[in-house]
Amino acid sequence: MSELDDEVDSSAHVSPVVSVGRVLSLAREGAGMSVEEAAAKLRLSVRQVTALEADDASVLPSPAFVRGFIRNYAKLLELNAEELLQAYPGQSGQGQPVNISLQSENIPIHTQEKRLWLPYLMASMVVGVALAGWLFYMEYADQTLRKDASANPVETKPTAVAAVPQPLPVELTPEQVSAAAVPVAVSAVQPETLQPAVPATSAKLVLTVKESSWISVTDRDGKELLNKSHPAGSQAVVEGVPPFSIIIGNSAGVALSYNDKPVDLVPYTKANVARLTLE
Amino acid sequence: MFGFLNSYFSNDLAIDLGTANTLIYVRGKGIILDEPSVVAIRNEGGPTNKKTILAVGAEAKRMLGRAPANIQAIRPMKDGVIADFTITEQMLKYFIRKIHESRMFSPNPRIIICVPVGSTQVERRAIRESAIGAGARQVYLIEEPMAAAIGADMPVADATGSLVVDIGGGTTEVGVISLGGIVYAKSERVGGDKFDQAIIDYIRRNYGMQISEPTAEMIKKQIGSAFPGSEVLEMEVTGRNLAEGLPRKFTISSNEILEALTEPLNAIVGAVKSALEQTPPELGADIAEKGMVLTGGGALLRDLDRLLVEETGLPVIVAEDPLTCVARGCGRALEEMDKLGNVFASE
Repeated sequence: MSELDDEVDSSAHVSPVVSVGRVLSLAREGAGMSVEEAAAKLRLSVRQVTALEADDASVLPSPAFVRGFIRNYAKLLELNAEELLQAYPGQSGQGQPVNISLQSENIPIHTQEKRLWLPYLMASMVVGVALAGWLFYMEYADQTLRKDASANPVETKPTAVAAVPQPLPVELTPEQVSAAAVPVAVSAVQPETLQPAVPATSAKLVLTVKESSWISVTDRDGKELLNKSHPAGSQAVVEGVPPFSIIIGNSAGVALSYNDKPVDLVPYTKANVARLTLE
Repeated sequence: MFGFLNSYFSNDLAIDLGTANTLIYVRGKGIILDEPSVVAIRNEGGPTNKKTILAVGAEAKRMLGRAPANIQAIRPMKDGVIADFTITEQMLKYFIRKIHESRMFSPNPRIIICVPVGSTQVERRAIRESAIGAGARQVYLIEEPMAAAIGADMPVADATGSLVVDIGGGTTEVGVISLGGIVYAKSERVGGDKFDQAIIDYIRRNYGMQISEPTAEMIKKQIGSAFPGSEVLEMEVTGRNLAEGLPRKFTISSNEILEALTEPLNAIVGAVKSALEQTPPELGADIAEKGMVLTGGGALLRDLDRLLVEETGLPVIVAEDPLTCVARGCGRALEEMDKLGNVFASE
């Protein structure tokens, strides 16, 4: 209150007064106007006009409106509104401005629909990871298998092959009761189909070199088993998976045996170089 | 990606792109540009034969109605929206550069720009595009009643209804605001320009005289009023007599201007009344308690508040410094834009 008084006094144009409300009240009485008349002219309620004159902010709306009311009231009473408003707290630029952002608890609401896809997403992620893992494992296993196969072709392949025919008779035995011909046919077919596979792993080449010669042997997978020149009187033994493609430099001076059977190089020789493929 | 660099090189802006005036608020600095939305264009003859911008703003406004044939003074905004896209873009670019004068790099600020609440999607898009064309990095739109209410320091975020009437150059925007949003809004394409046009038409009809738009604006500012007051003001005006074709002086009174303005004023009163009709009763009670707030240049028309008081029976308050209310509101939103989501308009 005393602050207000000081401010009003310091503006010096207003006669000794107590407050903005008091100025308004005195001016209204001076003009011979009742509170009711003033309220009717300002389109305010009597309660609001009384509050304005009593400087009672609790009944009045926010300062921006009160300043407007004071200006309107001052205009009605032909007072200088600016002087009054300077004495009124909450002048624009003074005090804290009105909050313009809505206070919020900020809890997001998930609808039912939104949640539905979440388990699907999780499940598909799990499946995806599992699939990727499996593929990776398969790739890895394949690589190690191939490494093993190339390192020790004789041992791994027969076990793989041997594992295949074994379950077949077991499955077929119940059928043997009804049809005796079927297992016979199967057993007849089996050796035929499997036979090439058995020697495929255990083929053996023996090259007896009488005159120094250059020999190259490549197996089924294109892997070079032998590629060098041999001195006279040496012997090279090659084991691998047929078919072998063989190139023998000085073919006249080399004797070749395949699985302990001698192979005549003459039909394959051209300009003393033999090129042949052995199944 | 270089957003943080950009924010170092350019200031964020809030623009009140009005039909009559463009105001620019710079973050942390306040309103630093207030110019009429007028662009003067010169058609160069001869071998170059190109269009160049002669002047923008106050300089261009002085050329309105005084230019020779090869100079056009254009007001690119009409009824609160863009009427000439290219010119608006050039004008914005000019204003933005003017603010960033001393900078080495071309500015690309974030911009908050206000749009009339009644504008269509196409019109809003045009405003956004023109701001982007003028070099804005990001554009946020805010509806004018919201900006005006914030600028007038009204309690927009509170659970209480506030009625704001923003009478601009091209449009009158009436908005009922509560809880940080617009509950009801109405935009009427009536504003300062319509007042001027009404005065021109009245004088031609009753005096047989042709006056220019700047003269009409001057009459409106000096003796225009919205409600019959106790004192009658007079003003001497010069125009061209339509019958004789010669410049003649005559005197016009405020009562005649009041008569001339009846039609646009009725449109404004109608918009306010229809807003009150559409307002939910709970908010209506709040408004009856606090009254409505007038902002925009139109609020400066003498006794417009009296007219609305008599017509609606509610207290009417003219905001402090009504001309800059929208720009200040936009600026306030700019200062708090990073934590403010609800006051911005979608396209």
